[in-house]
Amino acid sequence: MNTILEKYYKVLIADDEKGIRDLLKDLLDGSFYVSTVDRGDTIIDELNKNKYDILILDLQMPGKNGIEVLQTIRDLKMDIVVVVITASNDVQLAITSMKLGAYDYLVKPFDTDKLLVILKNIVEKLDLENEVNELREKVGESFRFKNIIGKSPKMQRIFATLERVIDTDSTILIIGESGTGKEIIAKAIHYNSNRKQYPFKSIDCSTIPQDLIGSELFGHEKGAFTGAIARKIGKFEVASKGTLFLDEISNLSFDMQAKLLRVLQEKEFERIGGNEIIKVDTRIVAASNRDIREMVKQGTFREDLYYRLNVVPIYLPPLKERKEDIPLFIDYFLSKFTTEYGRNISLDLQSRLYLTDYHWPGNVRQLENVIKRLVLLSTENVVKLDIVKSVLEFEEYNKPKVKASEVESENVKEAIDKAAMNKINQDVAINATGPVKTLDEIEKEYIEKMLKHFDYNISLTAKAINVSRKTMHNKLKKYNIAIKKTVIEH
Amino acid sequence: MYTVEIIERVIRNIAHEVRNPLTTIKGYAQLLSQKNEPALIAKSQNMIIEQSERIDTIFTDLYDAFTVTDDDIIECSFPEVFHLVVDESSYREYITIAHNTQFSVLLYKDRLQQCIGSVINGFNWKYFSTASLHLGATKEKNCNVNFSFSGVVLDSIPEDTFYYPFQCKQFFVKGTELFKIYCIAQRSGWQFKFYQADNTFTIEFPI
Ligand SMILES: Nc1ncnc2c1ncn2[C@@H]1O[C@H](COP(=O)(O)OP(=O)(O)OP(=O)(O)O)[C@@H](O)[C@H]1O
Ligand SMILES: [Mg+2]
Repeated sequence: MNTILEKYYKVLIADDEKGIRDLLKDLLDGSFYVSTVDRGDTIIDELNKNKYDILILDLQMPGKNGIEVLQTIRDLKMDIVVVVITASNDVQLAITSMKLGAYDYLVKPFDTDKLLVILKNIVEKLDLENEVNELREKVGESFRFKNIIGKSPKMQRIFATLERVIDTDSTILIIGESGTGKEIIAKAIHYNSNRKQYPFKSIDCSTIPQDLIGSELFGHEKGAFTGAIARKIGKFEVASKGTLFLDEISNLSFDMQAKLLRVLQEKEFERIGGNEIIKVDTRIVAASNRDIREMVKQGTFREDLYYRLNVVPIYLPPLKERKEDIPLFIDYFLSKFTTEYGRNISLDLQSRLYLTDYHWPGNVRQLENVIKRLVLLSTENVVKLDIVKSVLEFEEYNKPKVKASEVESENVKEAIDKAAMNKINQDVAINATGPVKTLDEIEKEYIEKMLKHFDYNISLTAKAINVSRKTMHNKLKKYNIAIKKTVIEH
Repeated sequence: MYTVEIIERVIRNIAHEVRNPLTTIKGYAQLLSQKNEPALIAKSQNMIIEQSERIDTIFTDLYDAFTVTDDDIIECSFPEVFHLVVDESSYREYITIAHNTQFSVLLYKDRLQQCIGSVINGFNWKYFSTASLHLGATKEKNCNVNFSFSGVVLDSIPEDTFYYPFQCKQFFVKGTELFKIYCIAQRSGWQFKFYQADNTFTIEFPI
């Protein structure tokens, strides 16, 4: 998905002019996490308190001028990229600030486009640096979010984003297919933030009737409508200072969207039927299994509300896009359920491989259910592949069909006869329950069968089993597989 | 300093002041063409209007600074003249007046009152809420009127006899307050100076 949005850098704007601070905030909100300070002598404090990636620095400011700030940043070896803005066109100042390590320099009144280009370049530079750091981190592998599994780069990036914004008040929007872990992430955000001693409340907008959502969220006064027999305090109020999780926000009616937007903007509301104005300081985490951008395009979701919610977007990838995490999940759920049910169960290697390669339309929740069932149903201590398959089959029958949009649309993939492929998968695997085979043997057999299925067309086979043609050729060489037919390369 | 040099510095200083609202106006005009959130559109329009008005205010304040009342040299007694201004001011709680020296001199009384008003009503009391101001006058060879600040360090104001139109923005609300006193002093044959060590402004009159 959108790379700029996935990574979320923090920008500090330092300017004594309110107009400029407002402008830059409005310009950058949505692409960055933005804070502002209005005095030169508070900048270094703020940089020490919170981690920022970029500083937009006005040179003439009360308290401490920009040049002095640049000097301090250099002396303290602070890790931040500085863009200088100034209303003076004194060339000497430009030279001095560049010498002191400023990344770039803009003279007021500048073009906002120019600033955006500079920031885009900085983001690219930071992205690159982060990739290197991520690689380093992989070895050390540390996550702050207890009980949340994820060593895949995609999840690590999400943790990094969350770490940046967790103690801020910014609204977070979590988008992910069903069962990808939206709720558990929402809870992790709350319980790892400095709001953790205040309530976490959630409301599922898809299960509560729309005409009741208003009163659930904002509460009502006695007699506000028929049935309102007593005053009710809404979740917004209960979760004040804490976090309110708005699950399946895409189901909110247009009318409720407008009301919610108002509260987010004004940070205050009235109970239904009441006129006391209630101020709230509630952090909003919203979740949706549909891409709200699409709904905005179709006109079913308010664009202004979308922007309010989308301050920090988190895209939870489907489980099949983070296969590296599946073995971790297997172990995690195995230990969870074996302890819970007091059983001593493990999985054999083939079962593990099979589960790791499975496409998991129901994502983590489905995997969790499968392991739970295996722990409960297995009569032997080591679970074998046939049991795994039957449990999966059972799961699939009881799951809603995969959405049409998720069916692969690539031409080649459409050409693949799915049933036949499954057959091959099974053949290879079932034979494996006979005499023990090495992984190499299984792979060889698999490739041979696939090749045959695709009439020895190497390109198609490579695509179908998701390897490059080069890899395919290497494998053919490695296993000494003869191509039975004239090779047609596309 | 040569006149051209002064003109150059003054223009530079005013340009600096005007460029901030100009940046905001230009920026919001560009934002208007990029985003179409209703809330942001309304805000952009407000900001553009507000900042245009600010540019107008900048010039109004400047004209006001240049305007010196046409008054006569009359007898003026201390510390009464301080009271005339301070008792009218909404900041009188921050101000003390020295009573140990009492004397009268001949000077442009209205202009002096303007200067006193410019300091006490222009200072940013809201921001520097711990500050206080002591007013006193002395008479020896010349007559001195002193504005001594405490509870705030006026460190970025230079010891000079010349001030730029918007030089004291950090401590004063409009920014033109000291420039106004400078203009009045120039037209009246007075000396206006800041003494950093004492945190004190002084207007000196020949008698
Ligand atoms: N990264 C993770 N680490 C540990 N457990 C996880 C993780 N992701 C999901 N789970 C577990 O998987 C199950 C499903 O997660 P969750 O309810 O948060 O998904 P969801 O995205 O809210 O699903 P839905 O859209 O269906 O409501 C939960 O039991 C949760 O504990
Ligand atoms: Mg959920």
